[in-house]
Amino acid sequence: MRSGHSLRFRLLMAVMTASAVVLLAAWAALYLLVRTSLLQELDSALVQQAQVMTSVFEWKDGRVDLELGKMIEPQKTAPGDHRYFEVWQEGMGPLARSPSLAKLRLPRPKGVFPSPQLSFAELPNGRPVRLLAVTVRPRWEGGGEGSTQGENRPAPRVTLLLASDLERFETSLTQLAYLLAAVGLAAILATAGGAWWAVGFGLRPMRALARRIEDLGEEDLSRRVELPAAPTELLSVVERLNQLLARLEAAFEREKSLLANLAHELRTPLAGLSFTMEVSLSRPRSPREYMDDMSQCLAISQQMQGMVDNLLTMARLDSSREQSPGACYVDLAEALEQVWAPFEDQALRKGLSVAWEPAQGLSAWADPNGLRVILRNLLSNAVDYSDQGGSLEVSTNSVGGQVKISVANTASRLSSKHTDRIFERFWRGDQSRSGDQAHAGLGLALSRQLAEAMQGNLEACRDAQSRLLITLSLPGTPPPADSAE
Amino acid sequence: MRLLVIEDYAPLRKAVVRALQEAGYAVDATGEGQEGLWYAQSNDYDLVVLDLMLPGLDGWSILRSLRGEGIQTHVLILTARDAVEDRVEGLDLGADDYLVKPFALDELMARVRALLRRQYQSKSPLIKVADLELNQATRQVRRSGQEIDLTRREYALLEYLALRAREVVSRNEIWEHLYEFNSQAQSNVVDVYIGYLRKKLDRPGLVPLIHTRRGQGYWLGEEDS
Repeated sequence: MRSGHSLRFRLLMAVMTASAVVLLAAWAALYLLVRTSLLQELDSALVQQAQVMTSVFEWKDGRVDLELGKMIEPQKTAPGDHRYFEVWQEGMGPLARSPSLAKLRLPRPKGVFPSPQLSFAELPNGRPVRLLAVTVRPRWEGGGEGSTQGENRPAPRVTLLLASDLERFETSLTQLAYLLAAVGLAAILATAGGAWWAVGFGLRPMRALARRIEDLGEEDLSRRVELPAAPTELLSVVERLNQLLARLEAAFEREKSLLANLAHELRTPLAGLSFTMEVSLSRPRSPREYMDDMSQCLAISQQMQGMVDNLLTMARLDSSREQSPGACYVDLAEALEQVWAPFEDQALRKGLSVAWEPAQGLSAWADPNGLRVILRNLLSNAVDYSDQGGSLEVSTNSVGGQVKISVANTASRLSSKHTDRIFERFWRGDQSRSGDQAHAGLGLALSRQLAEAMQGNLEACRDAQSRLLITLSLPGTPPPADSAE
Repeated sequence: MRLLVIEDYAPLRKAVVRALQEAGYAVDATGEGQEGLWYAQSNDYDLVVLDLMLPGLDGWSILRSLRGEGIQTHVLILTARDAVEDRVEGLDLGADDYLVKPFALDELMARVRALLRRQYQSKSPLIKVADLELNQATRQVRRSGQEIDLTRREYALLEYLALRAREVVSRNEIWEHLYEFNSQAQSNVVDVYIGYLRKKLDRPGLVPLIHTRRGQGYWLGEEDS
């Protein structure tokens, strides 16, 4: 598996990104706030000065008197806070300007400005300034400002341009920006440290869990993950993990016991085979004795072959979930009759009373070979394991689109609590190998698998007479086309 | 020597019984656990050959019951289960030896002989009584260096007497150790076989080794002079 970044790294990156965004926003807000208030302060100083200056303009004897003698130069409020002015009369050149401007001209906006208008501008030498422009009519000497009473010619409009150098303003803002950046960097570093520790603390149970999981041996599935005081988020993980381990252990045990059983089931006939031959060869014998031994060996090898065939079929059914390929309509009465033939003598010898009641004309949709294997297993078990002189009943019926084949036989040796275990592989319970019979405890397990592959099932229970009743259910018709993908 | 074989797989049981019988042992056999336990409880066997996976009652339970009742018969376990824990469990329950299927004829026979010797506290397959020598491995019998040819039954009888040399052994004990459970033999067959043995062993000119204790039985050995 490709490993991504560590959980700690991811969490750290997330926390850092989030705090950086918050800090940046706060930084920007603070910067803007300070800038706005500094600008307001600057502007109100400019407006105030403009009012003072314009209040002394007079219209006297047909000319504008600026009365600027006392304040040729605007006051400096602080170092670096240079102010400049120019006064223009409408339709004429400049009436006056600050000497400190020397040859420079203030940029002159067009139009008239009944109320003071503020804007950013640049001097021809490139210095940025805050520029205030206001247009007034000079006061009629002795009367109201710009009044025309008692005078033929009205006072002309005069525009005052007042500029304040922005050097100090910008220095303050730059200092603020440096301060904010330094504080921000410190805050980010502090957050990183704190987050590193916090994330590590938060992830401690995760690491503990990982260590516990690492400690689990591959061999020993009986161990469980124990995480005392696990946080609630991990409780369900631990629980699921333990459930998974339990399921694994159970599956592993099943596999182990299947293997042990398989070894036993193969070794026993092998031992019988080799030992019979060894004893037979241990001294000279009559042809009659050799023939007996040979037929004994043949029977054993046939039994082993049957078992291997069963195991292979089961392995095939285990590995593929396909349905039986060659399904067709199979007449049940006919199939039962064919399979029953070899068991008839044996049933007679055992004195079984056989009730043979398959309904005529009933068909199942099944694979004929698989069906034969199932029926042979059912009938062979029924004959071999029913009690001497017991009863055996075979019947068929049709229930809601399904056909059922029932085989019931007296089986006092099978305790009723084991009825459902007869389908386990290699399970034999009380009814063990009887003599030479080839019952390895696989027949019913295989039959059930075959039945399921044919969309049917195989079930066991006790009937009203407490006999063992095994019922095979199969579809009576082909499955609808869409389910047979 | 009388042995019991409890093995549920009929072909193997038949072959083991046949091998043991051909070696001169009296053998009872069953394929069912409960019946096997009953056999072992009601007869005095020299050795029980026991399979573990049995119908009715498994081998471990049989072993536990026998040892629980103080029956000390030697038990040789035959099994297809070769896991260490299976062996340990069997031996811990009081089995004397363990043989995993499939096994060889010679190995089974050697282990049976070894356990039977242990039954009579003898480490060597050679039994000596006065100038009589029995080799249990080869079943050869010599007296004063001369080989004596015995039938299976005669050998079995002599071996039993030799293993219990200088001990009076009753007719009944002899019968129990030489004949199978459902044998049709009459009890006087012991006397008949003693007669045959005397003829072959105690030839004229030799010190008689087989003695009768009237009303009690027979014993083998040199009479103290």
